[in-house]
Amino acid sequence: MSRRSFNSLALAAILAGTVAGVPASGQQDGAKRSAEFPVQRLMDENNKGQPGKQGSLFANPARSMSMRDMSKGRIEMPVKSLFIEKFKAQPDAGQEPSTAVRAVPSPALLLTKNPVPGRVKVALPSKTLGTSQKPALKPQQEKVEPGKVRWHKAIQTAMDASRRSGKPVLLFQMMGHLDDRFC
Amino acid sequence: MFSDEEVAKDINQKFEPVWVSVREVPIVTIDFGKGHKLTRTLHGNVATYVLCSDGTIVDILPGLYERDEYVRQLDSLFWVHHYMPRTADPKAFLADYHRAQYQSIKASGKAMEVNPFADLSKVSIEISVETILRPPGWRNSLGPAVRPPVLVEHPDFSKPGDLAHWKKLHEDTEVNETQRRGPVHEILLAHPGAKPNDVTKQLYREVLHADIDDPYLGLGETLFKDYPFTEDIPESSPRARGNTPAKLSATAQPSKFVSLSPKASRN
Repeated sequence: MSRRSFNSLALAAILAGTVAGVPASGQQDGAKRSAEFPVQRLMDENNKGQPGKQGSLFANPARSMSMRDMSKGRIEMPVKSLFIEKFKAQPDAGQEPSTAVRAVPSPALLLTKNPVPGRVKVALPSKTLGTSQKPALKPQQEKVEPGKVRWHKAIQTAMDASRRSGKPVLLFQMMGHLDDRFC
Repeated sequence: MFSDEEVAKDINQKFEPVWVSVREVPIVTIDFGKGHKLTRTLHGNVATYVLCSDGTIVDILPGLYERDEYVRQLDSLFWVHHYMPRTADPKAFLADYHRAQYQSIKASGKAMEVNPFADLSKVSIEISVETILRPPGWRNSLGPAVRPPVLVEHPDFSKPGDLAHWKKLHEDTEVNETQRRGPVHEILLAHPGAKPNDVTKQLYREVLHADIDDPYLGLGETLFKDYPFTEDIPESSPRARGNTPAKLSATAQPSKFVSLSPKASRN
């Protein structure tokens, strides 16, 4: 048998083995299938009782999403709810802001079922998170061009440049920032 | 100042410029109601250092200067830096320079002027303080008489040219040269080979009268002394602590310099 014929037969054997589900020599296909099987089984369980939809990932996406998404929701919701609670509407004037520890609501309370079965709607009051509601921790200064001088970024950079050019360093020291409107 | 084309061009040609912030500037906002607000900075101050490439201070210009005088002073310091490596002992030369300037200001109220191109003369001379410093007013005596500028009380700030004739800026420049520059030379004479971090706090506290370690920049006593509502007085104020400003500055924790990060850069 020529070398070329042998190679052709070997290739045919590998292809046949893969298609038939028989592990070909040197291919650990069994391990791959055992790793994928649970996913397949989950999809089949989701679609149980729905003839003709076995094995299809998108057979009932709503149910699949609702079941799988819960774990994700349980993790992320408390963080989101804390954020929402923190920046909720400000207390009325004259009323002392509450310092009591806020209870973290259950993720289930923040999830409302949509009329479409399986679709989860998160009750996020996103409009209350506008910039006007955020506490102003530090007033932001309007930035302006710091003149027409070509400033170095740092003293060390200026000193390095001075070493190369032989020019002296001009260090302008100030209160505030030269690129702030009020400086 | 740095928006002026000529000033910027002069600085870019002669120096490697960098700016740093020593602390935040106090900002006062008065809300008159109905959206009418007035915002101003309060008690801000500046200093211009000229440094060698290793960070050694050549000299410092304290406070804000009028444009022409600022350019003139920077030019003088450029030449002092230029002469330093051409002397037998640069450290001794720098100390002699500060001593001579301090004594000149103390005696006549004005600093001596630096002779440019002294080392490019046809007659070779030894570079020393005696050969490069000239009496005050020396430059003006060389050229035609310069008519003093007409100063204005209320300049049009939208025109950079008008700012150069602002009376208040000229008065401040005069104060810088006659009252603040002498103590600066004294500080630098006491700290030979000083780097900016060695003298900055002292400069701001003693020369510019703004203690950057004090959260109220030394204004705390004035602000809170006669204020009746004690519950509004912050705990860090001198009155709440029962300290005098002198005690406060002695006990205050040293503040860190604010990191510099200008948006514009040549790199």
